[in-house]
Amino acid sequence: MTSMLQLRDLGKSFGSFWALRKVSIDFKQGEVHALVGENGAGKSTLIKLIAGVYNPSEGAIIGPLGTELKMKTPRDALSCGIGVVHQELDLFDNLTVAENIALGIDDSGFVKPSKDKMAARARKALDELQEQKILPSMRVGDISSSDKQLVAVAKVLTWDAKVIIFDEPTSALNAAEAARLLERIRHLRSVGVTVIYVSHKLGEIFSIADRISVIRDGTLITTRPVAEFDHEKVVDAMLGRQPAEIFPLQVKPRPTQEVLLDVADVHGRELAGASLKVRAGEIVALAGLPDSGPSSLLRHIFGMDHASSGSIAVAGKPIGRSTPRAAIRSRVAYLPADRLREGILPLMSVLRNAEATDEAMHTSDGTTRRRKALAAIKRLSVRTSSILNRITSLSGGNQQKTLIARWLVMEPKVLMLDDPTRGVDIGAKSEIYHILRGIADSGAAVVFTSSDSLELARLSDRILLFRHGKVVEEIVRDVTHAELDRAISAA
Amino acid sequence: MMTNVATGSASQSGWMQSARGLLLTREAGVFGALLALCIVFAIASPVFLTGQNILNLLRQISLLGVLAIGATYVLIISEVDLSVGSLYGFAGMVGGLLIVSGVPEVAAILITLLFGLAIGAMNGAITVAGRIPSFITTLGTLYLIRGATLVMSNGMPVSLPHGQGAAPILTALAQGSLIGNLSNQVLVLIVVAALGFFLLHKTTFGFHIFAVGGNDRAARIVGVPVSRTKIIAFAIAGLLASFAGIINFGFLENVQPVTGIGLELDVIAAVIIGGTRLGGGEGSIAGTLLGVLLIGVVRNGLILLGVTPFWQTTLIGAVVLTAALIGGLTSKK
Repeated sequence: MTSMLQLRDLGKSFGSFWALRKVSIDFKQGEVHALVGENGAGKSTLIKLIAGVYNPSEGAIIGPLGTELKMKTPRDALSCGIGVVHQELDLFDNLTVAENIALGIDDSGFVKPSKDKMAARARKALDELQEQKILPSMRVGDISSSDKQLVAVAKVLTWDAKVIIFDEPTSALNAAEAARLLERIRHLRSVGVTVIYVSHKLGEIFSIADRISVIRDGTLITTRPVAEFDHEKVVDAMLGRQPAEIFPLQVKPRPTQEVLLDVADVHGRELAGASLKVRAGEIVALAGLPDSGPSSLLRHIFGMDHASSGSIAVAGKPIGRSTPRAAIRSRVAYLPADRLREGILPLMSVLRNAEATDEAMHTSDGTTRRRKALAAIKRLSVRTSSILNRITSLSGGNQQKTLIARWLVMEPKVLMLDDPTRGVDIGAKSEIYHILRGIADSGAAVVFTSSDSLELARLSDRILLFRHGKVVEEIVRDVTHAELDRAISAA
Repeated sequence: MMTNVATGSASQSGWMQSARGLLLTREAGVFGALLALCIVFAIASPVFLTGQNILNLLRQISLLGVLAIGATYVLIISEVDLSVGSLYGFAGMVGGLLIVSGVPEVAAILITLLFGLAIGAMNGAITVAGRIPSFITTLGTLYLIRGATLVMSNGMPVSLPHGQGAAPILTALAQGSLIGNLSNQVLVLIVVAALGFFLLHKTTFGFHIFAVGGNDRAARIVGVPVSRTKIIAFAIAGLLASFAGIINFGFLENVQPVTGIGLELDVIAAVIIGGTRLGGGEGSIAGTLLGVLLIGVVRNGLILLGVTPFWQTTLIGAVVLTAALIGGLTSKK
């Protein structure tokens, strides 16, 4: 098979930090090549290099003709036949499917191409994907996320892409939609397109990939045909050590402990009768597709979204008003998924960030507050040269630890975390796992969601599976993350 | 057979969907509100529907319309231009001073328009290159340009010398009427609107305007010249503001150093009433024209009813809030 894209000793540094070092991979024509690795391993850096978002600090990218591809922008990469279907889709909700596909490729003249011409082009691309349901005249803002995914594929196909990178394409799709997408990807492979497939759903990877490359700590660990792997080998290669060294020990359910969080029949945005009980000392994972309820329930409990009916009680007492302040008074803590926009106070120091909630709630006097904040920062070993530095000077993992410290100051009864290790490096991840176990051991109830099923399976004492806005299954026995992936997407 | 039935029903439902879509557009909503107001005023005042009043009304809104068409581009890319009121006054002053000092009229007009274009482009360039919110950039230029106008005129108004022929082109554009009693200002608006429509809805540049307003990060990735598109949008707003300003000079035959103060707010109000989304990405020339008409009808109707001008301002405020609320509550995100 001919080589479509060759990475030669490719690397990228940010200042003195090497996010990626000397990676060499040869992508063949008509293969599905899976790229796996933990969050922060360097996968997204690699994708951005191939897609022209970053320029390499070392090494080179070689095209099919053996010449080096110098891509300065994503547009250059597209012109070289390399297209990316992003996780956060780069589509325009305010434009139609046809306009989305035409934009950038069919717009060199002064007059915009006619509606019919754009529609014909879109139709052709959608036909190549064997997609009939999506009409060129539909507004992208009105179609489902799986259809958007297909529009994004159609778009790169019109650029005559020979290499298409899929970045976590099924994370927002249910099983049927994911199967449909995988079918389209097999079709692309059959017509000679090279697919680079990034996902942490190993089940999917084993069903579609021809070869797998594993990345860890910014280096390529191995590239091998899929037949030479099994689930365990991939996980071992990704982690570089046994899961037991990364995750704290799980604990058997303790039905006699006090119920700290009692949610009964909550209806609201994305929720249709969600109920759950969490007891002191346990860590409970909420699993499900992104819009099936887990994140939304946390927001409802914390008063960020308002339930239309149902009850939420902490340690036997109803929270009362649905506002974050009421929730905090009931000793509920919430770590949002979007750390940059809802978590950190970017212009303030590490110390002020840790004190922020206590200060806003007037819980302690100044001296006590500072003492508690310093203790929490120390307990979580937030690494910074000075706690008076701005929080933005810290790594993602240390920012996250600072935010957990902010809640430790409040001595919460219930700690809720929405995807707490997103954008956190592997070392800090393990630390956060142990911190959460420590908080549970000291008598709090910990509830979390995650986009990483390994984390859902290994960190929690039990898992509540959401579907269509309510809990449909409780998983107490040991479960592998592959089984959990299947359960999550079987909607 | 089955496929025939299926495609038949699919295309029919598609057709029905687009018909329903048309009924639900923002333009249709504004049009409905406009129609309702017209009916109320027509019943309340016998003068409202007379030919003379309608001609007056159209003339009164023409220059606001020219400004609002420029502002539509700026608002669709999710920016705002507060300096157009100052520029409107500045253009009248520059054009007036040039003509009074004996510069040939055509040259004076071209120089004034060039100033407008350049100042607009500068607004865009500062916003893009300096990564400054355009609210701040144009707040700065609002003062700068007004200050320049005051300095230039030494605080005194400038008038066309009396007698025919001092500025034949401008007076013809602003005071003449080619078609019956219809003011040429209305024709100017129609021509500007037609060009504005073509540029926004039919050209690649207009396509890019919507792309930048919808998702400027994605626009950059597919290779849309984002900075250039933004700068041109501001330049268009500047050009049209100066064009309206110099026509105003031709109409009044004089210009005050304070001409156009606060006008930028009327302009933004008209565009917002016309359904352009403040967050960017949505808007149309037709909507803007309807918004301008709505403001014109409110003012005109209330005057006919003998209501004090103070109430006009109050009612326009209520209309802006209503339009914004409807927009906010009906938008999907």
